[in-house]
Amino acid sequence: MTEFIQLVVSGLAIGSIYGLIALGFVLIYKSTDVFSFAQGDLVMVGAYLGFGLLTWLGIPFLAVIPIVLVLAALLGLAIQRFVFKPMMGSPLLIMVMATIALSLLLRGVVVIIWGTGAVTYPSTLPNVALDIFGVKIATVDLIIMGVTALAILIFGLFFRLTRVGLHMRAIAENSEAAAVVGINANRMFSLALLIGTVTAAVGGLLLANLQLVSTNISELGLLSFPAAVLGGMRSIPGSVVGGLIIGVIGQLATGYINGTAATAITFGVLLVVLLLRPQGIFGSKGVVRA
Amino acid sequence: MSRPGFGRIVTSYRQERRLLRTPGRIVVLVIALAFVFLLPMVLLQHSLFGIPISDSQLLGIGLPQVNLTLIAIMGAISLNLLVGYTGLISLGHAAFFAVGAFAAGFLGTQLQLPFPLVLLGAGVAGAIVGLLIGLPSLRLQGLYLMLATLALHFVVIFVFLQYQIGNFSPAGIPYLSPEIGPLIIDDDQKWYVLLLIAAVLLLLGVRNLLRTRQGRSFIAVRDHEIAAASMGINVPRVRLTSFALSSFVVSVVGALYAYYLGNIGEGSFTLNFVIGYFAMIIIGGMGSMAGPVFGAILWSMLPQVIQTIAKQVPASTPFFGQVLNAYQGFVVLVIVAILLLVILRFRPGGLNDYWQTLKGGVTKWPYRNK
Repeated sequence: MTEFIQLVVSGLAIGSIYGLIALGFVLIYKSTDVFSFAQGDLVMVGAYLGFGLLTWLGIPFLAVIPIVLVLAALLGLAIQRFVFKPMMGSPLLIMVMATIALSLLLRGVVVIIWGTGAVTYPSTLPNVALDIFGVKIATVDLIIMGVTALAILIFGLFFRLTRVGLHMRAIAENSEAAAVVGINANRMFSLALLIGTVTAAVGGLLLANLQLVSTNISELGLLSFPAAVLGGMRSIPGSVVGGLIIGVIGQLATGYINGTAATAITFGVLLVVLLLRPQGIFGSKGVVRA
Repeated sequence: MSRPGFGRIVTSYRQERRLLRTPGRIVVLVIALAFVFLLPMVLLQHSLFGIPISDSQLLGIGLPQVNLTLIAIMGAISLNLLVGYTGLISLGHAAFFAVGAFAAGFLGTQLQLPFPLVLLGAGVAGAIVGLLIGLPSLRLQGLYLMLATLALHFVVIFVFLQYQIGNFSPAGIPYLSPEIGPLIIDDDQKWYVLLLIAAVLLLLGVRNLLRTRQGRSFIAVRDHEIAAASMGINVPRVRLTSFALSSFVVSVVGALYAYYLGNIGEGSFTLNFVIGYFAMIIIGGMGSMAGPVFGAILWSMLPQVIQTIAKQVPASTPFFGQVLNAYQGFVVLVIVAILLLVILRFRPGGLNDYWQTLKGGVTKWPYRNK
C-alpha cells in the first residue's frame, strides 16, 4: 500500500507538469485551432534556456525563472508572428506539419547551441525527503504540485475575472462572432501563444529538477495529447486533470511493470478513450465526432 | 495536375491510356533507362566512360544510399496513397513498417518460408492490422484518427519489442539474404535491381489504380465526402480499402527494408521515422505521382550530401565550420525544417508544383504558362 501511495504521489508530481504542458497545448488549440506538435519542444527550450542562464550567469535557480519566462514569452510571440499567423486557416495536415517543422527546427537549434549530451542544473529547488506516515515525499515534488496549482489558479482567475480573459474565451468559443463585436483575434492568438509558451517553459524548468535535461524532453509533448483528449480537448481544467491521470498511470505502470510498458499503456488508454468516449471527461458530446 | 500543352491535345481514349503519349516521353524514357543502367556502374567503379569521378564529386553517394532511397520512395508512395489521395491522416506509418518487419521475422527467420511467400505474408498481416486500425476511421475523423493511429503506433512498437526480446535479442531481429528461386540476393547490386523493379512496379500500379473507379473514389472521398456519398460511393468502404491497401504495401516495403538491413530492432521505428515520411510527401508534393519520388530522393540523399560537404569545410571556418563538423545530422534537421516551413507557407504543392510549372513553361513556350 505504501508503495502504491508513493507511486501515486510521484505520479501526481510528474502529472502536474504534464498538466501544465497540456494546459498550454489546449489553450493554443482552443484559441487558434492549431494542433501543435511543438509543445514538447517548447518545454525542452525552456529547460535549456534555464540551463544556459544558470551556467553563463552563475545566478541561483530562483533568479533564472523570471528571465526564462520573459524569453519564452518573446519566443511565443515570434512563433505566432512568423509561423502561425501567415498560415492561419490552412488545412489540418498543413498546420500539423508546420508545427512539426517548428519542432525539428527548435530541436536542431538547441543541439547546435548546447550539444547532444544530457545536462543537469548546477542549482536546483531544495530537495529533501519528508516522511509522512511512512510515505516518503520529496519537497521538490510538493513544490512542483504547488506551482502547478498556483498557475492554474492564476489562469482560472485571469479567464474568469479580466476583460482580456473574457475576450480570449470569446475567441475560443467562436472567433468570427468575437471578431464581429470588435475583439482583435490576432492579438488574442498572440496572447494564447505567449501563455502556451510560458507554461511550457515553466514545465521545462520544473522538469529539470526531476530529471536530466536532454532533447528527449521534447517527447513529453506527445503526452499532452492523451491528457488533452482525456480532458475533453477544449477544456482547460480538463487538460490539467488529464495530465494528472496520465502522470499517475505512467508512474503506476513504470512501478509495477516497467518503463517501456508505461508509454504503451498510456497510449492504450488514449485509444480506448477515443473509441468509447471521444468527448473525454469534461468535453461536451457532439463537438468531437465529425 | 495535368495541364494539356498546345499541340498535343488528346483525341481518343486509346491515346489517353498510353504510357508513352508523346515522342518527348520516349526520349525521357531512354535517358531514364540509360541513367538507371549506368548508375550502379558509376557508383561502384567511380568512373563514367573511362573518366574517373571522385567520391566527393558523387557527393559521397554510394549504392547503399540509392537502395535506401528506393525503399523510401516506395514507402512515400504508399503513404501518399493514403494521405495525399484519400485524405486520411495516419501516424501509423512506422507501425506498419514494423508489422512488415515483424511478419518477415516470424515467417522468414523463424519458419524459413521462401522469400516471395514472406513478402506476401507481410503484406497480408499489414492489411489485416490496417483494417483493424482503419475501423476508427469510420467513426473518427481528421484529428481523432490521427490521435488513434498515434496511440496505435506506441502499442504496436511495444508488442514488437516484446516479440523481439522474447524470440531474438535486444539488438534486433536478424534476417537471412533473400532467395528468389536459384538467385540469392546478397549484395547491393542485386538489391538495386530488385528494389528498382519493385519501385517501378509500385509506381505504375498506383498510377493505374488512380485511373480506375476505385482510385477515383479515393480522390472523391478526399475532396468532398458528402458529394462522394451522394454519387453512390460507399465512403466507409473506400476508406477501409484505402487503409488496407496502403498498409499492405507499407508492410511489404517494411519487410524489404528489414531484409535489406539484415537486422532490425524496434528502435528503428520511431515517431521521427513517421515524420520523415510525412516530410517527404509534403516537400515533394502531396497527391501527385512524382511528389513522393522527389521528396524521398531529397530526404534520403540530403544527409549524405551535407556530410560530404562538411568534410571539405575546415572546422576553423568562422560561424558554421565547427557546427557543420560536429552536428551534421542536426544541421540537416534545421535545413529540412526551414525547407518544410517555406514550402508549406509558399508552395503547398511542393517540389512537384515547381516541376510542373517548369515543364509547362517549356512545353508552351513562347506562350505564357498559366
